[in-house]
Amino acid sequence: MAASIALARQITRVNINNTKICRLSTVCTDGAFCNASLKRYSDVAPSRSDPEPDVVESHNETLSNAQAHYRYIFPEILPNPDSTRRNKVCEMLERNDMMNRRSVLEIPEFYVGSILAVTASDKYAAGNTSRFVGICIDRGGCGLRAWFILRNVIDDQGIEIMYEMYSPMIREIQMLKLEKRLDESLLYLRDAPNEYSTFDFDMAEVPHVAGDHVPINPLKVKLRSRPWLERYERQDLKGVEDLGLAQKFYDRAKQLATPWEKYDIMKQYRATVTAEDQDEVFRDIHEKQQQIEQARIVRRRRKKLQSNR
Amino acid sequence: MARSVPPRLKFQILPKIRNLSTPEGPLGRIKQLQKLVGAIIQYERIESQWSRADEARGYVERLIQEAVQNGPNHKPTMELANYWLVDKDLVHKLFKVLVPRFQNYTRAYTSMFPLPLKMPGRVNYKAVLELKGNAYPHVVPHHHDNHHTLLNQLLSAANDEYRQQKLAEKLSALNISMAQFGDEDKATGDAYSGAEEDGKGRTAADDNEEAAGGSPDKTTTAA
Amino acid sequence: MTSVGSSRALTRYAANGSHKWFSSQSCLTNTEVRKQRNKAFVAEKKRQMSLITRVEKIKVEFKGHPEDTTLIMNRGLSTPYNCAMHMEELLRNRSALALVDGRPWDMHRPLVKDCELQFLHFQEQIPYLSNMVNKAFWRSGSFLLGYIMDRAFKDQYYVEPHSWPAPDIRSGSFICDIDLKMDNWTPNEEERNCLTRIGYNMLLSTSSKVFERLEVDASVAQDMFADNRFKLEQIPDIAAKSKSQNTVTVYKLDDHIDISGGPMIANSGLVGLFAVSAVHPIDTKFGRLHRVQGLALPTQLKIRSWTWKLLLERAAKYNATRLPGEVPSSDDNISGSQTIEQPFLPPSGASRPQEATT
Repeated sequence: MAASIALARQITRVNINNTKICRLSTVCTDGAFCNASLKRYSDVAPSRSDPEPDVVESHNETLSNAQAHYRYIFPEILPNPDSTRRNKVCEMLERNDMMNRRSVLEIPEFYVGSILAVTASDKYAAGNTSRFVGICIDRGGCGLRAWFILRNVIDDQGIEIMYEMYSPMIREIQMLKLEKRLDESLLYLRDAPNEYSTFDFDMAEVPHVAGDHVPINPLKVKLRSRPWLERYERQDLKGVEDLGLAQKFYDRAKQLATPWEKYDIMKQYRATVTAEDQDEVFRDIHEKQQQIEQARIVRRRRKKLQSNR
Repeated sequence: MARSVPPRLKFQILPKIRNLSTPEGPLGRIKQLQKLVGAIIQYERIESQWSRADEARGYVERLIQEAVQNGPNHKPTMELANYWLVDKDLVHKLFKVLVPRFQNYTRAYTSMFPLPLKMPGRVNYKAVLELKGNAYPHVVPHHHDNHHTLLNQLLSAANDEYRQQKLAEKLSALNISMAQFGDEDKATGDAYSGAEEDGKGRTAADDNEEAAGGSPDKTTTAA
Repeated sequence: MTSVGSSRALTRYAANGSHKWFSSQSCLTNTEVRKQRNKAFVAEKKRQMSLITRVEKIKVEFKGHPEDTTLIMNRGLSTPYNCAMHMEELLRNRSALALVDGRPWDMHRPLVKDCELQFLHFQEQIPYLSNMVNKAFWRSGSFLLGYIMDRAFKDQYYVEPHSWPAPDIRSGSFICDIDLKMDNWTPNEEERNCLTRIGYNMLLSTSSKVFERLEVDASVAQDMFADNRFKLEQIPDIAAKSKSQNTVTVYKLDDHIDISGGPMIANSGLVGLFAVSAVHPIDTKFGRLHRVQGLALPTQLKIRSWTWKLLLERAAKYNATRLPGEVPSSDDNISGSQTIEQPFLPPSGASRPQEATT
């Protein structure tokens, strides 16, 4: 294992030195990646596929159904919930920039667990672009600083690229398979066998009808044996099979668990953008978003017609 | 099962939680808050350290907010109430008494008042935290009545005059004379002209009083 | 310039009915008259003080902030202000008026018997108390206008204050009716500012000036106001209506002396903002007079400049409160001397219905 990590590091360096993709994003492999992520998926923000029917409409009657879904379609449009870091003018300017970017680049709805293909500018690659396919293992950040990480295994070497969503170097983001996994972060795939994060670059697009519930992939991952990058037994993961550890690990995990946080309503409140703030943002972008949607439909239809010919 | 997006709280909160000093750490903090939240729901007015009361205030507000929004049939809300209210009678009180009371509130459900420091001694900021609409007398008993200060008298007179003037303008636009309007008004008792009559009456009476003061013996004998 | 004695002789002559003295006005100057009047006032005060040969003690029961106390004071010497000096600086600084046995009492008027004492300031909560202080303030404002007009003009203009009507706060300005002997003169803005500045010079002087009160016999008063044909006429009336049938109440601020029933506020330091807002010529049965209008606010009350301007605009309009010689023949500062003797009746009393809150 240690040898494989060492090898990975070496290859990482090679990757960075040879391809220079790092200007656009962070390239990393097993064991070399570390990023403090700003999570905004709390208990309070339900996922769209949540079986509970009243989730969407219950939180605000004034918000139209379309607007209510913005919370899941592009969570980065919401401001930072930390009140000390809010700046209304800055947020507004960023929002404008984001919508302008979205009107030229189609950023699809995606979740952690979805499989994406990203084409980015790369002046050293043939044709000045490079395409990368991978599973989204994490996403975060708000405003123009939103990011997501794609992971794949190429030549038995785990590769992860962190893309900045609104970077001007991104040419295209293609949704290959829209789905969710059981967890909100799949960083444990780094400690799973390679087959769990290996995806074909020529993978065919899995069709998804707009407006349908996003399917949840109930796949449970069997992790490799320790040592790991993180102590997964303490994370209450749903998408992993039995970790197969000694009892003392579980005892320690139980000691350190914080079950009361589920009821800490003020902690959750401080980590959430309130209904009023959210409405203000969504009302602000609604018109522009409608235009973008219309343009997208027209573009798709035109493409379809061309391919039919 | 998920809860809905919370509306904004109607009072200022700190950007971070306070770590209330307790040997048990975060769980001890939650236990302290459980006690406070239960006490506020039960007694509707409590006295505590400022920091604790302020911390508990957020939890009480959020709990009532959830209860008002979702009602007793919403499972996560009931779970919350069950967790925060150790005395189960208070769960009934929350949904049967407080939810109807706060149904149409647009402001905060609680209010908090600082208590004076005891000097000399250790600086210990204390506060009174209460649910609004309780049965106790007001915490701040006396509201200053400033209507009769010189400045406010001058301003109210200026206001009266301005309104009178506006009314006269309007009436002149309608070709009704002020006197005519005033006559009709005595019967109907309109506020504007009523005030005017009153004002005139007062000044005349004042003059008479100050003037008639010249014969104090008369007044005394009359009295 | 002729001597003061001869001018006084002339006025005496004028007071007998003939108006020939008017032609000899060049003999009279405001400064001379003021000096003479002051001399008489000081002499009379000295005389009255010399009458108190033995210091007798009286018991004053104070009620209110900071605590209820009993003070042993000197009869005929100690004033409510002296009582305040024994208690708290706040009381001394902000009290405008005292309440002795429920009646308004000047802060600098000696106490004469065992009594209950309270202090009033400009933010009283109870309407009738507030009204009492406001009226005292308004009256003091009128007095101040007399003070200003007395020294605003050059020596060739001899100014004779007539009187002022009962204080009416809701009219928007306090008034002093004065014979300026300038038929149609109205001040322009610059002149008005000058008049205001004369007021401020006094108000902002390092030591705040005290309103001194003195009760004098009619004859003394006649001597004091021998150079004012209006006052001379009014004095017998006022004296006749007083309790002892023969006294007139006189107030002195700095070196200006006028007849008024009072009560007045404690000192000039209590006046914050002040302005002479307008001077309007008026026709009365005494001939052409000038109605000087002013506006002031106590230091205790804060105001924004916008609001002050608004009030000032209103104060500049002609204030039609009772003209001299109208309805009741006597005026406030003539007859008012006796209001203080009137038993005080709280607002519930039928005799003061106008006090009731609106």
